[in-house]
Amino acid sequence: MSFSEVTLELLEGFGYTCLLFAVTWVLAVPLGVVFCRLSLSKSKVLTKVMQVFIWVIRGTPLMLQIIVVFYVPGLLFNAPSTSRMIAAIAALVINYAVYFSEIFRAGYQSVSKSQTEAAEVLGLTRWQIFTQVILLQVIKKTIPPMSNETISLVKDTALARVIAINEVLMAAQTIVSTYAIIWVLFYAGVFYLILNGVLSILLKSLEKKLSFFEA
Amino acid sequence: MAFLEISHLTKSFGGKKVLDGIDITLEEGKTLCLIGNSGSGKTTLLRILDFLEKKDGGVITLDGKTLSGNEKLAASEIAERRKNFGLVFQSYNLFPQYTVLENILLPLKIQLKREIKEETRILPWRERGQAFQREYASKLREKEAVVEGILGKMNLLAKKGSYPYSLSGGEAQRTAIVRALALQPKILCFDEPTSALDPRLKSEIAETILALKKGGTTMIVVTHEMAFALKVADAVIYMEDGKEIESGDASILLHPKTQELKDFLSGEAE
Repeated sequence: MSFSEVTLELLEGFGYTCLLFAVTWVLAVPLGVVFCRLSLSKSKVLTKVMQVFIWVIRGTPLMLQIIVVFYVPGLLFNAPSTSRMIAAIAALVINYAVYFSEIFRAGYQSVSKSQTEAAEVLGLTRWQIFTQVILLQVIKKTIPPMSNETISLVKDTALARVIAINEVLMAAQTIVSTYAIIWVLFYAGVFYLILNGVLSILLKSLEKKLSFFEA
Repeated sequence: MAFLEISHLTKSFGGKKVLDGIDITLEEGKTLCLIGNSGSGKTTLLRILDFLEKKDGGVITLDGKTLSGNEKLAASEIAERRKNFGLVFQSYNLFPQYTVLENILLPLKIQLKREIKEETRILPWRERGQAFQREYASKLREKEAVVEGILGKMNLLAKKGSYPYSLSGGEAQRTAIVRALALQPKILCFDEPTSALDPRLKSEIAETILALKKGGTTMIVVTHEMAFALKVADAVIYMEDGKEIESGDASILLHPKTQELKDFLSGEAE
């Protein structure tokens, strides 16, 4: 198999990798905010439910979650089988939303309560306090841990191969097992390095942009 | 009737009484200093005045109007009544993402938007947007000029574009004072305004508060600095375990009557 043929195969797989990553990230961030809000709820029942939910999601392998989302609805409820892509994205979104929510919660709680009180005394409403005082400080504080999770997400998309999604690693593995070419594995690694390199640069520049103030 | 009257103010945290029937009167333009050991209830009192804590009982009357009785208040009502008291925190609590000028203008802008929105409500909706923009821009310019004037008086004009992290403790505290003053509260409260500062900056803030006193600002100051209290206080209340132990004019700091105040002052002098 020639280099250009391998490249084309891997590029097709890389398309799936990028799709899995982008859709997951875009959906997991807002869902993470919702989970964070529920975790910080005044209702003790709700916070307990969230604690158990977070414990389950963080305490079990992502691969297991992908398998469960793909197979369980069909086996238990006789539902029509979920599309492989949708199942993988759903599992990734739930898993990453939980991790993101914990980052947001830590960031929110670390923005001093006194900032909120100062804003209250100055006559700001709760919404104004959140949007104009707290939010930017939380974003600044959460960029470094969010960068780590974002890079982990890129790598975790490879787990989608467990339900036969032909992402870049599966595409490489298929070539290796069919044509016994070892270098394809390293070549597949380059695709991850490029995507993570671009994301690192973007996140670093965002971090730098927000370095105009110390939170 | 005094400008500010607080009667039988009580507050408990988890069964522990932190304010136990406090009575205070304060005349307009005067400065009251609250002194006492940590945990005596001074800060809680300021927080109740600023609606950051709910009191358990008592009545607060300002300028002849009951500000806080025993009724439940809606959030909008609390926001309205809160305007009467400015609060300068011990740790400044400036917003780090805003410059000195932006920190001061943020609440003013919000207040201005609210007022103009209310004023332009009578106009046909097509004209509202433009009228709002026009009015807002012109009034904001006026506010900015006033704020810059105050910054000038406070020696902060050169720092108006600086972020809080780059300010000295004194500059940060003076910014916090201007921010509170700009909203024109009827009473300005200070929670240990000098305790986080070194001696040179302490005297800088003391001078600022003294200047406000000369300008006729009504103030309540929680402090541990007796020399500072002697300078600025028209009235002093010594508190212990949520109770008012001794009160009077500033001379009680020199000639205390109760043993508790004598012990407190001798402890402070050591």
